[in-house]
Amino acid sequence: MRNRFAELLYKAAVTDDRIHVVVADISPAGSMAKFREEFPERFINVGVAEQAMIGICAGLAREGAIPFAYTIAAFSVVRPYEFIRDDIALNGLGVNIVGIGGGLIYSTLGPTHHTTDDIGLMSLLPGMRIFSPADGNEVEYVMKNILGDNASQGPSYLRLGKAGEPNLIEDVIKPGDLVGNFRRIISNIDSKTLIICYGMISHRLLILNKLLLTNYNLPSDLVTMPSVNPIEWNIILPFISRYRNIIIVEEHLDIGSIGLRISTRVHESFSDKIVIRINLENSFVKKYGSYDEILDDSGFSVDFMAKKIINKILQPSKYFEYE
Amino acid sequence: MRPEIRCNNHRLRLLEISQKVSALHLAGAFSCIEIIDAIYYDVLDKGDAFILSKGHAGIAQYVLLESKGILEPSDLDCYSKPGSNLGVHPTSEIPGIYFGTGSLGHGLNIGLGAAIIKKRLNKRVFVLLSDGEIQEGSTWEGIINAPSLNLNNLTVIIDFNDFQSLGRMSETHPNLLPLGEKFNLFGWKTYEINGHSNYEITEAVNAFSDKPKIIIAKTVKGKGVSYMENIPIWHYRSPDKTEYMQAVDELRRSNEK
Repeated sequence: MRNRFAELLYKAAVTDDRIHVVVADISPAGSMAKFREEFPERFINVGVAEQAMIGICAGLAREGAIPFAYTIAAFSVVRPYEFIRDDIALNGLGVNIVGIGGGLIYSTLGPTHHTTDDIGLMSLLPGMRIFSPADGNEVEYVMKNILGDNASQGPSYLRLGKAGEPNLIEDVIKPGDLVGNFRRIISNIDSKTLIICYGMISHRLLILNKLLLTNYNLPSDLVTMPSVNPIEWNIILPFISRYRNIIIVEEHLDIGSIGLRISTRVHESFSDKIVIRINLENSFVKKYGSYDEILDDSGFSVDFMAKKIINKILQPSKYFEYE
Repeated sequence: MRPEIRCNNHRLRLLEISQKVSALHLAGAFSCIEIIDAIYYDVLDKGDAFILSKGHAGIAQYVLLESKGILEPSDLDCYSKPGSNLGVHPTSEIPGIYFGTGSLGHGLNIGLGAAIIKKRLNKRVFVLLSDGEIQEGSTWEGIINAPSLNLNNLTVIIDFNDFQSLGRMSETHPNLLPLGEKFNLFGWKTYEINGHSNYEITEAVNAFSDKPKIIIAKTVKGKGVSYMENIPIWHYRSPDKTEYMQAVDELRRSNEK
């Protein structure tokens, strides 16, 4: 998805000279290197200086440019947060902040390089649009939402994963697949269970979806959220209404999570729903290994998630420790 | 009108407003009034940008915008009152304000971003920093980057009154001084001037430089009113009636000289 992003950005930049890239010492691979070679005056490397990266983007946007701040997710959000708030969000400027390796992708680098609070922090900024694509198709959808005529719609944050992941499903996104924030990935005729997710972790939820059916005879629908914020409640709440069990899985802390927001709204709107949030609860992840290993180790193993879901569905009144 | 008289008139206007609201940051406004006056009267061309990074001197900028007819006297009369859009720190919604500020250490990098585009249009960007902002790490990120980006259309002016909330920078952080040598080593062209002289300000601002420029403007906090000059309490305090009359008297007399 990282490559797809760079490729689409490069293509857009050929015809739109407002597009600028401001990086903080991140190595430009693939199409980003091509961007740098062909548009050197629109590729700015500030060095290891994330506050300058954001401030410069604000000044560029004030002058009518479409800037992309581009670095590792942890350093594109938390490090320069006040600059994002005061310079960009407060002024409604169309700066796009791109965080690569969001969530637990940098699985061997430790908690300083994880981003498990970015969705919450960015949701706190009025007017901030948040996108978290799960594959190249979703990256394409996201880029349509932030480029061209949509560039003036204010700031955005893109939580990107890594390079080289497959597409979730073969089909490209058709208009009918989109219901508000949701992209329908798996739909059954009569399923009572809905799994909601976004970003890289969506790939293992496809496996969870199959496992729930084969091992527990529980058919479930699966949606991703390429656009995470703002949440289009008037569309997604009616969509949710047909389900009994709503499961939200996120590589994120519970506080500030999309799951917590959906959970609140669902309980305010309906009295007969079971909402299950699977996330990092209230913990830093002090574990190492491959991305898959660290997910397994942090409560996202497919077996563990399946058992948690089944237990809660069978015993809805039982309190879990994270509630 | 001579710039000295014009600037004293700005001070008189600031004093007038100080009688309507408390907490005006009067002394910090007095220290940079010649700088902002010169920028609006003698420096800014159409398409140039000015960023007041030391946002707490917003009232000084409002007084200049009023003097140039961009803000109305009625706007300033409700400064910091309910229904007004003029608070202590300038926001981007206010006519004539290029970019809102408040938290220190933001203006310089915004100025860099603007200067990247303005350089292509042959336009200039001016950023006014307080000396305290030199202590912000973000300011040094900008100091490092402007010369690397060849932004010779960027001019930074430091209101060097050597006063902060907790004392003189020359005493609390003596190793930051001298500043000029440091900026030169970082690739800037540095000037040190009297920040209350319109002549010296405009000379330095208009001097040719193929590098980005920093003008260290030596100023006096509370300049123009004898009992305010270099007295820390006036960072925040507004004069009472007697003090007000004395200040007005001093400034008027100075205008008659």
